[in-house]
Amino acid sequence: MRYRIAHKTDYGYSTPVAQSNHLLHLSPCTIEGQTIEKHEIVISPTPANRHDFSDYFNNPVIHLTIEEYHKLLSIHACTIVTVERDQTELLKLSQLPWESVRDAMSDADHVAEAEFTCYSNFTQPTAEIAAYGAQSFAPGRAMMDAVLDLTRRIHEDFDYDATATDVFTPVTQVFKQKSGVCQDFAHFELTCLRALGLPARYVSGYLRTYPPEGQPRLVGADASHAWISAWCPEAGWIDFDPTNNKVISDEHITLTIGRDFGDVSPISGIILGGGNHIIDVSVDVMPIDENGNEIGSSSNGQMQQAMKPSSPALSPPLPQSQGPVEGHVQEQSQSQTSDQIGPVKPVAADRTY
Amino acid sequence: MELDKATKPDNSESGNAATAKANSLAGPIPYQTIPGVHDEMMDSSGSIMSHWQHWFEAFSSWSPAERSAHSDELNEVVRETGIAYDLFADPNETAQPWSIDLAPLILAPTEWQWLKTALAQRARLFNAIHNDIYGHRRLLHEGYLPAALVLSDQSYLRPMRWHQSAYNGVQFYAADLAKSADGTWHVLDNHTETPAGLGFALANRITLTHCEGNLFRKSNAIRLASYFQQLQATLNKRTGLDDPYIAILSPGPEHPDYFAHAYLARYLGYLLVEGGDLVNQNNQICLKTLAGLKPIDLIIRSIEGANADPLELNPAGFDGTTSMLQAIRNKGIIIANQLGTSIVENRGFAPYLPEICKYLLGEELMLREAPRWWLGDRQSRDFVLSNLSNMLISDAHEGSGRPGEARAAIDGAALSPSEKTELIDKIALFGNSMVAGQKMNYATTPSWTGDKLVPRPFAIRFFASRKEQGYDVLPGGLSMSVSAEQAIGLHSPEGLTRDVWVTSDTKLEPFESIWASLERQGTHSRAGRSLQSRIADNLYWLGRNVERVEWQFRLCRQALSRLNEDSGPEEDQRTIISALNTLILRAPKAAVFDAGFGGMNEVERLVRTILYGKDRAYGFQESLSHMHRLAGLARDRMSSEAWRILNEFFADNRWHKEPGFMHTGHVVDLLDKGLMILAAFSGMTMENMTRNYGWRFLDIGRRIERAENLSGLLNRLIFSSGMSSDAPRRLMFILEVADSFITYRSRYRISPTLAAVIDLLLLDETNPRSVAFQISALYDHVNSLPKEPEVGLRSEENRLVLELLTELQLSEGNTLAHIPHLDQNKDLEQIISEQCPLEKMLNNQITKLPQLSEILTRRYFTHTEEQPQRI
Repeated sequence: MRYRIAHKTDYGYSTPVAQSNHLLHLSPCTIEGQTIEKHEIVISPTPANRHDFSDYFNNPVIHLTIEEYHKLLSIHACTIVTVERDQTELLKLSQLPWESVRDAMSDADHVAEAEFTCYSNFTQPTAEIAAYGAQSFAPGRAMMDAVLDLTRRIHEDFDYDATATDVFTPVTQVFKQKSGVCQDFAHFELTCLRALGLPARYVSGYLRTYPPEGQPRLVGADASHAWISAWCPEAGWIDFDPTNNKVISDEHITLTIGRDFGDVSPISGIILGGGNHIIDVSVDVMPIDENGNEIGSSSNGQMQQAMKPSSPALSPPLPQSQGPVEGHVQEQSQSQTSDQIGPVKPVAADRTY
Repeated sequence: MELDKATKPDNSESGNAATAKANSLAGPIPYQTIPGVHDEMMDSSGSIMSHWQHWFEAFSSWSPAERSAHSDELNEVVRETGIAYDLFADPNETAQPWSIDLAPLILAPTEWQWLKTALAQRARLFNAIHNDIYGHRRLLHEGYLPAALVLSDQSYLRPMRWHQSAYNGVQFYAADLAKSADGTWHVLDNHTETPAGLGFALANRITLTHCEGNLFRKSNAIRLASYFQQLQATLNKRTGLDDPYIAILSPGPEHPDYFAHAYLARYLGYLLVEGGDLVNQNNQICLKTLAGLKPIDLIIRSIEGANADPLELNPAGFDGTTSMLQAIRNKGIIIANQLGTSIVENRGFAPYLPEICKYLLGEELMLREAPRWWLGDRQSRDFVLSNLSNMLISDAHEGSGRPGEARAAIDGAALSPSEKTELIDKIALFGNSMVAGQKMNYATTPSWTGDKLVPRPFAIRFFASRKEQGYDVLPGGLSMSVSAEQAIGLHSPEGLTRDVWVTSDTKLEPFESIWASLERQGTHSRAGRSLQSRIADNLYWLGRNVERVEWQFRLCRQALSRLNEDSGPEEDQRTIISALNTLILRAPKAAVFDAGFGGMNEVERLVRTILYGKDRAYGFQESLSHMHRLAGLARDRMSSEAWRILNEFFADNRWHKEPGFMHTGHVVDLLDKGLMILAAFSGMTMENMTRNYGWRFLDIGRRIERAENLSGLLNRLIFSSGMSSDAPRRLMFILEVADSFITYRSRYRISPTLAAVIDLLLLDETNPRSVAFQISALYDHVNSLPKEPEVGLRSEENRLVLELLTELQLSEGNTLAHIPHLDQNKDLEQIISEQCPLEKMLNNQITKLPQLSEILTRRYFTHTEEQPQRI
C-alpha cells in the first residue's frame, strides 16, 4: 500500500521565545518492507542551525536551533511511502521455546538483541508485572506464540482510555488502572517481555484508519501510533500491536525504533522564554494510488481536497501526539476474530486524547 | 603551595628525632595493633616502620597540651575554611562535620612506586574500556563483557556513542583502595564520572600542613603541586591553545561538594561555572558574561553526565546546557571527563577486568577488586545465593561518587527470612544491575582520637589524571575510615578523613608554587575580563548586604551606647527610636518583639527586633542569611581569607541565636566585634581584590546601599519634629552612626551645626562616609562597566548617576542648611512647609538610587533569570 503521510505540529507561545532547541524523530527509518519515495520536513521560522544525522538506533534525527525571537513554530513533515509486508506469515517460523531465546541473549553473538532485553526508563518492571507477563510463557512454549498470547491478553484486559494517562505515566500506574493508550500498552508489553529476559523494542509510527460506514475519511484526524517488536532467531523481529491485537502488515507504517518512547519522541524541545504554550498536532495518513490520488471507499470519492490538506484544525492542544485509533477496543472485543486485520473505525472524528 | 603560610616556629617538635628520643619524659606514645591485622605504622614485632619514624617520634615528643593545641588548631582551620560537606546544610542538623585526623597516613617510597604504576595501569585500562564501549564494542562482541551488564546500566549514554577518541575519554580517574588484613591492596570502587574528592584531598593537605608543616617536610613527603601543574599543562595541550578558556562546571552551591569544586577552581585558576552560565551558540558552548557570550574551550565536568543536556539526555537534568551534545558532535567543546564515562564505574565489571586487561593492554592487571560477582550472570547468581551469608550485596552502579558516601551494602548474614526472600526476588528481576562481594577484614592505620593513638580500618581514594602519555598519579590521597567488612564501595559513616603522605627516598626537587606557573599563563586576567552575569549579580547583592549589616550594627550600637549615657535621655530616646525606625519601618508587616519578661525599654526592644527578628526585611537575620548564601555563591571570586573573615558570622552561633537575657554591654561588645569583622572584610576586598568587574559590582552594591541608608537617616532625623531643641545631640548621633564624628571634631572643632554636618555627610567627596563620595564612586563604576556601543549617547544609568552627582556638586552646605534660625525657635513644621532644597535633594537620592539598582539589574543580570522550559 502506498501512503502520503502529513504530520504537522504547530506551537504557539504567549510570549516570544528567544532561543529554541529541538530534536526531531519525524523521518522514517530504513526497514525491510517499506520504501520511502519522498520525505521532507519544513520548519518555520528557518532554523539557525540544522543537523541531520542518525541516532544510536539508526533512526534519522534532526537537531535544530532557532535563534530569532518567535511566537509561532511549525514543523511539517510529509512522507510518501510504500509498505509491502505481512508479518503474520513469519509467526509460523517461530518454533524454539522462549527460554532458548532468553538464554541466547547472553551469547556475544546477540549483542544487538540483548540491548532490547534491558529495562529502560519507561519499562521498569515490578514482580507483579513480571508475573502477569509470565502467564503467557508456559515452559517450552514457542516464543512468538507466547508473545501473540500476551498481546491478546493485554488487548483484552486493558481499556483504551485517552484520558487515563499522559506521556509520562509509568507502567506501574498503567497496570494498576488497566487502561491507557497505545504508548502505554506498548510500554507495558515491553516491560513484561524484558522482565523475562526477552528482547523487545518500541516502534513508533502511523496506522491506516478507516472512516465509519458511509462517511468520508476525515483529513488530519489520524495520530501517531506505537507498538512493539519481539525477536526470535528463526524469524528475526516481528511486530505486534497490543492496542489493536494484531501482527502488523501494510496498514502500519514504521517511523522509528527504540527502547521506549523516550528514545523516539517525535519532537522534543527546550526553549528559553515563551511563557505558556499551546500545541496543535495533526496527522494525516492518506492511502494513495500510483498517480498520487487518494484511494477511498466509494462514499468519500469527493473528498479529494484532502490531497493538500491546508488547515485541518481538528486536533486540540495536547502534550504529545501518541494515540492510536479510538473505539477499536470496544469494537474488536465484540467481533472476536483472532486473526482480524480488518478495518478499525474511529468512533468520533474530533477526539481528545 | 602547602607551606605558604604554614611555617610555624620550630618549637613544638623539639628539633629532630634524636631529641624526641632523648626526651625521657615523653617516651614513645603507646600504640597497640590488632593481632593478626596488618598495620601501616607498626609491624607485627611492634617496630615502627622507617617511613613513619619521623612523624611518630615527633608526635610522641609533643606534650598532651601540644597535641591538643594542634588538634584544636586543625579543627579551627577546618571550621574557618569551611571544608564542610554541605555549605548550606542546616546548622542545627546533626550531620557529621568534616574532620581531619591529626595523624596522616604515610606511604613508603617502594610501596608508592608499585601503587603508582598499578593505579596508572587501571586508569589506562578504564579509559580503554570506555573508548571501546562507546566505539566498536569489541569487548561485547567478543564476549569479554556481557552485553546486558553494560547496556542495562542507565549511565550508558547512548547518544554519546561514536563521539569518543583515544584522547578524550577518562581524563580523571580515581580509585578507592583498602588493604585487607593480610596487607594486600584491593579496589573498593572506581570513579570516572567526575574528579570527585580531588578538591577535598587538596583542601585536607593544605589544612593539615598549615598545622603540621614541619612534620611534613621532615618526613620528606612529596608535595601535590607538580601534579596540578602537569594537569594544567595537559588540559592546555588538549585545547591546542596557549591561553585556553577552561571552566569547572559544578551543579552549584546546593550540591554538597560545591566546596570542593570552588576550592579546586580557585587553586587551578579556572572559572567555576554552573549550567545557568552556559548557552550553546552556533554549536559552541559559551559563557554568559557582562561583556556578552564568550566561547569556552574546555570544561572540567563536575556534574553527572546524564544531567548535561536535557534535550538528548535526562529530560530533567539542567546542570549542563541545552544542546551540549550537539556542541560535542561539532567539536565545539572539550569535556573532561567526556559525557558517559560513568559507565566504567559499574562494579559488575570487576570479575572481567583481568581478562580485559590482557586483551586491551596486553598486560597483567596489577591491582584487583576483592572477589566480586555480577548477579546478571546465571552461574554467579546461583553461587552467591548458595553462599549468601558470606556475601555483601549492592547496586552495580551508585551515582554519587562522593568520598565515603557509598551506600552500605546489604549483609547477607544479617537478613531475616522474609528479607532474604525479598532479596532473592529482587535479584531475579534486577540482577543485571546488582553485584555481590565477599566480606573483607581491613588493615589499620593509626588514628588520633583526641587522647590516644588507635588502629583504625582505612581506605584511600587515589587520583590519576591523563597526561600526554599515560596517567599521572597524585602523590597523596584522601584517606577515610571505612566501616568494617565493607568490600564494595567506600562507606565512611564517621566523616573522619586523613591526609595521605607519600614519602620519597631521594632529595625532593625545589618546589614551584602553582601560582607562579599561573602567572606565566595569564589565567587570572583572562578570568577577570569576562565575569559571569550570575556572579556579578551575586557580588552586587553581597556588597549590599555586607553594607546593610554594617549599617544595622552601627545604628544599634550607637542606640545602645547612647542609652547608657545619662544626659538628655528623653530627647535622645526620640532620636534613637526615630533612627531605629528607619530599619523597622522597612518591614511594616513583620512583628516587633514585645517588651517581654523583665520589661525591655523601647530602644532595647527595637534593637532586639532588628538583630534577631526572623523573616524581617532589613533585619540582621535576613541580611545574614543573604550574606551567607551570596558569599557561598561568590566564594571562588574571593580570597580564602575574605571567606574566612565572613565565616566568623556563619560559624558562630552568637550571631544566629537570640540571647535569653540581653545585657546591653554584651550586645555592644558583640556589635563592636561584628564591625571589626566587617572592617576586615572591607579591607580585604579593597586590598586584595583586583579591580575587575567582580570587584566593581561588589562595590556598587556597597555604595548604593550606603548612600541610600545615609540619605534615609538624614531625611528622617532632620525632618522630624523636635529637631529644634536637641539639634546638636541629634546631629552628633548622626555623625556617630555615619562614623564621621572624629573627622567632624578634628575639622570643625565646634558642636555640630546642620550646615557643617550636611557639608561633611552629604557633599564632601573626600569623606568615604558621605553620600557624595558614594555617588562619585558609582559614577566611576558605571562608566567603567562594559556597554553596548551607543555612539554619542550616555547610558540610562550614566545619566541618572550624573544627575545625582551634579546636584550634590552644585550645592553648598550653608545654603542647604538654610532651615534658618534653629536657635531662634522657629517652628520646624513651618520651615518644612516651605520649599526646602535639602529635603528635595534627599528625597531625590532616596528615589533615584533604587532606580539605579533596577537599571543595572536589567542591563547586566536579567538574562541569567530566564529559565529554560521543556516543551
